Amino acid sequence: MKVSIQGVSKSFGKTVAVDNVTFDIRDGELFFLLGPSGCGKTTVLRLIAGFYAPNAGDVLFDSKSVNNVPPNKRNTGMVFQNYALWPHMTVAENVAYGLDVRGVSCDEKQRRVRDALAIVRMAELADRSPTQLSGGQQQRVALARALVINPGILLLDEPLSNLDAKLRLETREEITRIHSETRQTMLYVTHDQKEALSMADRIGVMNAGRLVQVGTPHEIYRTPNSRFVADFIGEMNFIEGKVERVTESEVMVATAYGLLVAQASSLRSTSDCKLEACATVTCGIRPEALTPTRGDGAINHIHATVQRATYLGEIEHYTLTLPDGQLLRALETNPEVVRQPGEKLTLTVRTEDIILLTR
Amino acid sequence: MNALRFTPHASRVTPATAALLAFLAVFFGLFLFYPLGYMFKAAFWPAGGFTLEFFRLFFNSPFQLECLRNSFALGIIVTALTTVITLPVAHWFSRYSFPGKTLLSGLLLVPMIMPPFVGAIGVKQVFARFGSLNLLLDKLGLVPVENGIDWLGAGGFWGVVILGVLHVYPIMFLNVTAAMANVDPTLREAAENLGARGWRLFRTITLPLVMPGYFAGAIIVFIFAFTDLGTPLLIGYNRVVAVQIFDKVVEVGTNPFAYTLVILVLLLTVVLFLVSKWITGEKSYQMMARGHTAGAETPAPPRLRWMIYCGTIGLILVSLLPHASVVVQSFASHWFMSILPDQMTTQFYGEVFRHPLTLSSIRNSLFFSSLSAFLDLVLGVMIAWLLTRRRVPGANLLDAIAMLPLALPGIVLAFGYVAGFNIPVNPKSLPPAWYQWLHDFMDPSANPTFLLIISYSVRRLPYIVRAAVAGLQQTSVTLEEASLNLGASPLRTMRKITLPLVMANLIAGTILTFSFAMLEVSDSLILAMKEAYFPITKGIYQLIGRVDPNAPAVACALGVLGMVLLAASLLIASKALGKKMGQLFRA
Repeated sequence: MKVSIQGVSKSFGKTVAVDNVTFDIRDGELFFLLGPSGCGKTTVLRLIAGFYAPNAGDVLFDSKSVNNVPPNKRNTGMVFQNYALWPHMTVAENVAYGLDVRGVSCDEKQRRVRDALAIVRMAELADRSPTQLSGGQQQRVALARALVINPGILLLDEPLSNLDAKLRLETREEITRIHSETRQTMLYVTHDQKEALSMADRIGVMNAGRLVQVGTPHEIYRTPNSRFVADFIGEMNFIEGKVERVTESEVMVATAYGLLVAQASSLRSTSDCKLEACATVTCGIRPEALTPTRGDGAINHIHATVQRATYLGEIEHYTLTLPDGQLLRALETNPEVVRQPGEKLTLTVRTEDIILLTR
Repeated sequence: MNALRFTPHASRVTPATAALLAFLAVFFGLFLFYPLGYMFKAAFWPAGGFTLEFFRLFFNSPFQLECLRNSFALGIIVTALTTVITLPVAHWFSRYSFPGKTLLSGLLLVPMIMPPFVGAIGVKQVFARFGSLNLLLDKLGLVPVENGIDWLGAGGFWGVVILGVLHVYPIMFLNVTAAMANVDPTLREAAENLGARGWRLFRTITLPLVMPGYFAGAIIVFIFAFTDLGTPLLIGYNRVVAVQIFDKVVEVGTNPFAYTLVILVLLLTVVLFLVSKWITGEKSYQMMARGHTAGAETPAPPRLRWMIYCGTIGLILVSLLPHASVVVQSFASHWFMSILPDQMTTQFYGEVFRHPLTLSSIRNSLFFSSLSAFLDLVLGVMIAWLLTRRRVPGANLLDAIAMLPLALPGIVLAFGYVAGFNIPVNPKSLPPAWYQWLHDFMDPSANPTFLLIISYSVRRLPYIVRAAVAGLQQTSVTLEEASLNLGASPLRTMRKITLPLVMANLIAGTILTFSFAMLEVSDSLILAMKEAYFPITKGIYQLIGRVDPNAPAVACALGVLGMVLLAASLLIASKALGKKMGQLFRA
């Protein structure tokens, strides 16, 4: 099922939780809403489930507005953050509940409950009480309960936030596997960028009630459209500068640390304005894009002093100081030598790794 | 927006919600506010015009003023004695751990469930001028029985005080213990760290922080002592406001003094509550950053432990003495001018089930109490659901109204019912059928069944509302949302998810309301006017007054049966509720 959110706003009292948000979730897609806590992502999810009614805008299921459809008639399957398993029913009864409501025949019900529990690998524990299950097991029962009704869309509200790190990785793979097996349309809400980057078909990044950027994980990471997205997802060094020259393929930016050249196509901004000479821009460079070099050149070379080096085995993390005191972060994979604090270092960056942000 | 957990369709009043609210408005309007308003009207506007004439007459009557003074004295002394008894016990129970603490704290609550009204019969047997104690002292050669000590003091005043204290101290204990346990132990530790300890620490830190909890308990205790009807009536200490009101029920249409008295009691209650709200509001400190409460209890040192045991067990034993003597008396075939009964028999228990009055009163009580408990269950679930699951307009008001009966003296409401639902028929003129029906159904002088059930329900509604609210608050809303999400209708969700999850609380609340209704005193004494409709308590009162020498023993047997029933149902309720039991009795 395809879900469209069109110009939806929702406020609670004076707090605007969701501010004019528009996006589509395609049929069969695993769509992520990613943002810091309080950004309104859970509110969007609950608007789709029907627990809130929008103040403005429309929620469309397969192009039909469901604004006036109560939650129990929407056929969405929700996995709650706290799982919300009913403690007075067994695992199997929990999973069968939605089928009972739909009046599914006894035989079919048993078969579907068995299948759903098999998908989440919980078939053996069907007769247990949810209170006897571990967090991870409860999580999978909640998933089975939502999946078994063949929902139009599966809604996952920070489903991994109550699990420990190892279980989180396993369940991540589990959900990815289930998605690829069932091609179930899913909306997954999280504040964990690693979850989003590793699992999503597409990601919507939210901040302060607004949808900031929508794109594939690659697009979001490689070409963030704003300083917020660049900063929130992964790490990013920001260097201010002035445009010196714009050619067909390249933009030259003069900074306090030398000349930086970026690809003209890398220019991202919320308003697709043309870059003029002398315009102020911000160059974004990911730490892993900065590589120590022995050579020296006029462009895309930055001189800095090592302030701290953190050795992490396969990589080394550097915190460096630029001549004017600004900090710079860099990574080196499989480092040749151990670098000491105080050591002077020249770093180089590829043209395509510089992201130009106009704001 | 995880902080904002709103329920489905929050702040939208659905037709179902509106219907519930309308129903509750009619119910409370008719059975809570109408009787109160009626009495106001009768007291201030008896003939249409406003007058303070009755109050002037009242305050010019030395007898009425004496009654008022006596009631005040009862209230103040009972509250003071309760405070003195409770503070050390509450201190021990909130600060120290010791073996048997759970059992003892349970036993401390037992006196609360034993109606002091029944205990009064036993107290008279033991402490009267020719009672067991004086006879014992005579036999020991200490005090000759001819000028034996007047234990009940000043016409029974001290008897009423002691029975009152022994009955209500658990309410104070629960409130003060809770307040003490709520004091962040680090606040005390900070004071100790700065050099304060012992009495100074208690006076400067603990006491001010506990004050709101203490006041909440003290108000309930004071109002109870001020308005208790059963105990003074049975002891024969009649010069108190409650008994005066009771005596005037029969002349409800003609004697305006009764309204004056009721209105005075009501105003006093309101004033006390406003004062306590003001005090607690001023002094209620939000506990910032609660520390680890686990560190609040330290094991009691051996010497203190023995002190705790002696104090607590002594208190429990003394407070059960009246009831123990009721039990003895129920087996006593002849107990007159002797320390202990001459002969023991079980015949009175047989008689309870043969005697027409006792038999019908047991039947009546069971019937009234079951229906009132059921009504409370329905009302309680409605109110709790509206309060916790719907953000209805006026939720705070609804909460306040549902809790109001906790503070409303029983005699006030019962008297209001008698006055407000007085639907006289003139036997000479044939009234219209609906009016005759209204008279037969509503007027307590014709048939009190309906109003007794309603008054029991209204009086005990706070308990079941608390129980249901507690259950619903503990049950995450997401459990209901999950059901809606899977396609279940709101009604099905209620039936399959919500109700099963709060069942334990509902059962406990219902049992509580049932058992309190079984031994409700003031409503029963005032509203039941014909013997055929007497509940157990009025049956006991009636039997005590009879000349038949066996009647008091039968009354005691009936009382014991009532206590056994009450104890059993409270045991079941506490099993269902677990530790949360105490919360129900707090203000």
